[in-house]
Amino acid sequence: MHTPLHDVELWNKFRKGDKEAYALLYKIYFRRLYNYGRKFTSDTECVKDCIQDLFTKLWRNKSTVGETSSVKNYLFCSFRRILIDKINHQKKDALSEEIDDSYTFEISLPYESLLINHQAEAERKEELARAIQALSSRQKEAIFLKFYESNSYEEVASIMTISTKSLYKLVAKAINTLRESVKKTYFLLSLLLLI
Amino acid sequence: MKYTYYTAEDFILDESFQRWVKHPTPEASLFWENWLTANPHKRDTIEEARQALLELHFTEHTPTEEVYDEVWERINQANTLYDQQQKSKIILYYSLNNWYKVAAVFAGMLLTALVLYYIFNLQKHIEYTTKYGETQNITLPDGSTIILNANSKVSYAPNWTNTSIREVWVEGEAFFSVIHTKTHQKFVVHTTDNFQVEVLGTQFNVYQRKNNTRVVLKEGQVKLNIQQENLEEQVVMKPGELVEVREQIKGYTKKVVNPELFSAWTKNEFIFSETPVSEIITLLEENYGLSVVLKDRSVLKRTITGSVPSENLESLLFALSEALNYRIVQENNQIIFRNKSIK
Repeated sequence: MHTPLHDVELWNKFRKGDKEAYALLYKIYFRRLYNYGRKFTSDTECVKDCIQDLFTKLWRNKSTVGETSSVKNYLFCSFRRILIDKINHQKKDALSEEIDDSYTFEISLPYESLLINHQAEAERKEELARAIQALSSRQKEAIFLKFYESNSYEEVASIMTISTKSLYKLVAKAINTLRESVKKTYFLLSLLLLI
Repeated sequence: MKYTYYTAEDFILDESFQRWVKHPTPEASLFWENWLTANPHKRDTIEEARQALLELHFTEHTPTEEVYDEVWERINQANTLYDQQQKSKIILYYSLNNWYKVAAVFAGMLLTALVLYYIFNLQKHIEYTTKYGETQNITLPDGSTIILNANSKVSYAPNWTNTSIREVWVEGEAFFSVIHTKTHQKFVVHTTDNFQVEVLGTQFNVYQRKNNTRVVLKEGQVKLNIQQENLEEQVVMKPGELVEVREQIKGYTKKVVNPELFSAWTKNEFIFSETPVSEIITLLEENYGLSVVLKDRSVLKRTITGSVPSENLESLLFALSEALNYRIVQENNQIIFRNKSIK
C-alpha cells in the first residue's frame, strides 16, 4: 500500500529522471485515473489518449515541474483538464461551436448493490440510484471524488478548481437531495409497516 | 462537544466521521466508541449516517491488463522518441558556439523566407489560356500588351517592381507589344526552358508549338537566347526577320519575311503568301483543334496566296475550298479534303 509520503518520494525521484519512479507512478495511478476518466466519457480511447498525454507531458516537463505535497491531486487535476479539453474539442469539431467548459459526469450504484432480496430495501436503493442520476454533473463529480476516492474537501476543491467553501456547499446540497429522496420512500414504507 | 446536536446529514458531511466509517484507525474507533457510550441517544443517527456513507459506492470502470500495458507501451514509445530528439538537440547546441548559432538561425530564417517567397510567387502566377478558335487581349502590369492566339497560354508573376526583369511565359502563339520603361527594364519571354526572347521595347510575334519555336520581329530589336546541347547562342534580330528553332535540329534558321503575315491573326485574319497547304493544315489543327483527313496527299505541296478571315471557320473553309477547288467537309472535329475532279 502506498502512502502520500511514498508518492512525494517517487515524485522527486521522477523529477530527477528516474524511470523506475515514473513507472511506479503509472502503476499506482493508471487504474484510478482510468476509472475517474470513464465517468466523464464512455469513449475508452479518449480516456486512454488522455492518460498517455498526461504521462508524456510529465516526462517532457520533468525538469520544470515543481515539488508537490500531493501527487494524487496534481495528477487528477492535470488529467481532468486534459480530458475536459479533449472532450470539448471533439464536441467543437462536431458542431463547430465555441468551446465551453461544461462536461458530463456519470456515476451509478454498483449493479450488485441493487440485487437485494428484501423488496422494501430494493425499492429504497432504486430510489437512491434515481436520485444520484438526477444530480448535476458537478455534484456527481464532487460526490465521487469525496466519498469514492476519499479525498478531503480541500483536495476535491483543488482538483475541481473551485473554492473549498463552494465545494462543501456543492457536496452538502447533493447529500441533502439524496437523503430527501430516500426519506420519501422511508416515509411510505413506514406507513406500510404500520398498517 | 460539537457532535451533540449533529443530524445524520451533518455526520455524513463530517470528515472525521467519514474516515472512521471508511478507513478506521484504532484511535478513531476508540474515539467514536467512547463518544457513543457517552451519547447513547445518538446511536440511531450514527447508524443511519454510517449506512448512507457506505452506500455511496459507485460502479467501477476497471481497465483490462491489455489496456494497462497498451497505454504504458504508447507512453514509452512517445518518451523514447522525445528523448532521442532531445539528445540530438543537445549535441547540436553544444557543438555550435554562440556566434555560429546566431548565424545559423539567421541563415535558417533567410532560407525559409526565400523558399516561402519562391513558393508564394510560383503559386500566384497570373495565367491566361485561350480555347480553340478564340484570341485574347492581355494588358501586363507595365502597360505592355499581349494578344494571345487560340489554344495558347501565357503566365507572369503578379508583382512587377520598377527594377527587376519583366518575365512572361508563353505556350502556343502570342503577339507582344512591349513598352520601353524609363528604367530600361529587360522584358524576357520564355517559351521553353532553353529559349528566351529578350527585349527592351518592341513588337514581335512568338510561336512555340510541337518542338518548334519561331519569333518574328515587327519593330524594334530583340535578342534571343537559345540553349541547345553544348551550345548557347545569342541571336540579335532586326525588324522583318524570322528566326526558327526546331528541337532535334542544331542551330537556327533566320530569314527575312513580311511580319504582317505572321501577326495578321491578331487582326482576325490569316494572310497567306505562297503558303503551302501543309502549313495551313497545321494552323487548322493548332488554332481550331481540328484533325484533317486528306484523301489526296498531293494537295499538301500546293500553295495559297491571299487573306481570309480567321474568326469564322466556315468562311475560312469556304475560301480554302474555292482557292483549291476542293470539297471541304466538316464532321464534328474532322475536316475532310476531297478533290472535286477525282470524285
